[in-house]
Amino acid sequence: MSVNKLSTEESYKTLNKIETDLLRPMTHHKGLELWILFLVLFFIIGGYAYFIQLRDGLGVTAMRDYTSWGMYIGNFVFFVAASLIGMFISSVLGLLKIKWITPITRIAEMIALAFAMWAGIVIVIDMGRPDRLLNVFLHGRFQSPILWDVTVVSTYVAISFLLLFLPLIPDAAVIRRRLPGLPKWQMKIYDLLYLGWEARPGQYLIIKKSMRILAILIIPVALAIHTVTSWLFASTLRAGWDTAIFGPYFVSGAFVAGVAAVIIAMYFFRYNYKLGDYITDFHFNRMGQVLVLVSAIYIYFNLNEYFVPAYKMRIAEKVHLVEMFTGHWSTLFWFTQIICLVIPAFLLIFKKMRRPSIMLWLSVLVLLGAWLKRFLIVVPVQQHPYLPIQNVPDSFHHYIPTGIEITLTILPIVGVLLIITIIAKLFPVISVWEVAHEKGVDESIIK
Amino acid sequence: MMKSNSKVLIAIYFLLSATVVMGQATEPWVVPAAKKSVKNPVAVSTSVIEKGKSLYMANCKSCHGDPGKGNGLPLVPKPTDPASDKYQAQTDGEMFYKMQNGRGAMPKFAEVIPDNDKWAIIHFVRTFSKKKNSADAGKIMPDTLPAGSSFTSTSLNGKPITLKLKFNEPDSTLIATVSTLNEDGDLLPVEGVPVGFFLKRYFGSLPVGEEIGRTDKDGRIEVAVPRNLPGDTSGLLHFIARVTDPEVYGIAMDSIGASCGKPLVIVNITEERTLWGRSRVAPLYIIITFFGALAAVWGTMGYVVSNVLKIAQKDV
Ligand code: HEC
Repeated sequence: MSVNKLSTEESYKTLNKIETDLLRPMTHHKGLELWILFLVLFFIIGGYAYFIQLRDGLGVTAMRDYTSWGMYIGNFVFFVAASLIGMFISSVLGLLKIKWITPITRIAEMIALAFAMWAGIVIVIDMGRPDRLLNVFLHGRFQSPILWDVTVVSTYVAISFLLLFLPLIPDAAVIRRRLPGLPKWQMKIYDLLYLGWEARPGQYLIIKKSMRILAILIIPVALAIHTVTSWLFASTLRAGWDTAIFGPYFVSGAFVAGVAAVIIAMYFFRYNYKLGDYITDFHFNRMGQVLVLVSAIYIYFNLNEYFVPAYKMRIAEKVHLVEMFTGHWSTLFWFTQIICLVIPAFLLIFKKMRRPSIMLWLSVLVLLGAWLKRFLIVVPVQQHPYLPIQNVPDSFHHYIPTGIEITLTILPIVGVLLIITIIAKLFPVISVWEVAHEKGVDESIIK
Repeated sequence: MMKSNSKVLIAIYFLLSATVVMGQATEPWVVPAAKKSVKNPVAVSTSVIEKGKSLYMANCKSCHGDPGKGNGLPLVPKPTDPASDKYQAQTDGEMFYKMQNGRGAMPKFAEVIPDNDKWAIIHFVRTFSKKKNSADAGKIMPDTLPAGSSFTSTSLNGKPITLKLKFNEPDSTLIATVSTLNEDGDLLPVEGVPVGFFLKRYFGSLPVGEEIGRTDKDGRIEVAVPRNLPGDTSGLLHFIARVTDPEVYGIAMDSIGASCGKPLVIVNITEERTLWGRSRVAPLYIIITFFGALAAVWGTMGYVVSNVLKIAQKDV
């Protein structure tokens, strides 16, 4: 892979520095306990909220006959969207042989795995009777996007898992050598994972070939996971969901959310884990450009998604669109579209704006917008069915999420942070051996 | 399935006629005095009222609503609630005449429901009357129609009149014979009696043949039954023949079942492979795609994992 190989002596020196830098956060982590405590505390609160929902049923949410898919489903779509980034960075960019992604692929895959895992759990939270989950497998219909969704989400979790842990095999060997003083249970994980890694050419061959196969395999699966998610909506006749571009519209939106999430994580790891030598301004600059690119594509899809029906204004579409453009949802809609998408994408065109500190805030806006957008896709449409339901209480016509609902929407987000925190505690967030290769370190000494 | 068919028919009928009727001022519905005073010839009994009720529910309720609930269709003019004073103020003859002839959105039931069944409906409707006036009613039975039964009733010149219906398989004709009994109890054919043939359908009866003919000197009349009439699952059809001018000739009818129809083939669409069906009848291409994709992806993953585990072998 590397162009200019280092001499043996230089190799050892460079590798030593890389190992020291990248493994340091695993043993030096000020405030980590506090952070985990905070997350666990929230888990307890969320757990209690879930207990109430289990005990009293979904009536504790604001979901009623009209809006029967609320915040939970919006959250689910957001989670699936964010999880697509693993495929985008390590697979699409990786297969295009784009070199600079090496130090951020693992961050992207951590985010992908965490979001994909929790996406499945979010669906269970949306079920009043989670014990009936099994029925999806026992009585699921092959014709229904629901069965495909469950199948493809679990498949994607499995691939993401492999794609994250495969490159950890050489790193596990490095950890065993460098940090023998770690707790016993932790060492057990590395013992299991390193598979007797000795940096032999045959071993490298297997790792690289396997990663390549997975990188190709994950593309159709990732496209499937978000396309199927979009079909949950697009396979209905509801005005606002009944559109042909929902698949690519969702996928392009997913990349926007994912890239923003990765930029936030990059920023966090760069400063907290002191990885400035690896995640450089150059990487931010490049990710800023990527964000502009994916946002531009997404804006283009938005134009199609809203302008085409708005030009024709068929009755049912009109009711929905007017509510979005100038009616009840207009503030949220324009905030999401303009402040959280168009403006950040526009600003990032300028090199001056593609600095880590500015990009952090722009990415936070974009990610917030990505969440709100899913809410706007899921909820408003349901308030204008073709045949209005008769004699329902007035409250059924509106949807204002309850406290329990909000808590149980935040819970999975906290869960994602917890998973990322744990992975980042147990493993280096940047791939040691891949960075070393890039720097020209002799392959055979990385063990 | 038949039920929903008739509902569709009613809906179409209602839409078509409603457009005609809308905007027309309602004039009183005048019934000729002679028809007005006609008495209900059918004897009243619980079974007759039951019969009337089920006929009402099948043929009238869709517009007139449940008697006493005022939940009829909002047509112009509005179908009167049978339990209302306005409706009950009509004589039996008036009701019969209006059912017979129809007006505007009110369908004409002359050929659709046999006369005696119409009288049974009137008996049923009268149960919502405040005063009991079934004392006037006649003594005969309505068309309860168990296949193959016939009955004899009020008579021609004081003599009972009988109608026998037969089906002639080879040339697919219905043959009715009208006769009367003489003093000695012998059957004598009656000539010139108008006889109508009907095919029993779910919604009323369908006339068989172009027009109503009269019996010949042997008391016989026949009508050709078109082949390929849709029947029930075994091709069975129910025919009725009856004297169509009971005021002159008396009431006589007969019914017969004949397996000359085209058997109804019930296609159970829920057993077909469709997108909207159950999982068991999912289209094959979906099942193949689903398991094919699943096998391909998980198979590849399995291959990758088994390969990766080889890393642990000393000779790689
Ligand atoms: C398609 C709808 C429809 C159906 C079916 C229907 N009716 Fe009517 N009926 C009407 C309407 C409309 C009127 C008012 C007609 C008018 O006054 O011009 C009416 C009027 C009548 C009247 C006269 C009431 C009055 O106040 O003058 C009688 C009697 C009657 N219907 C009996 C029946 C019976 C018995 C049946 C079932 C065998 C029946 N209708 C089925 C629509 C219907």
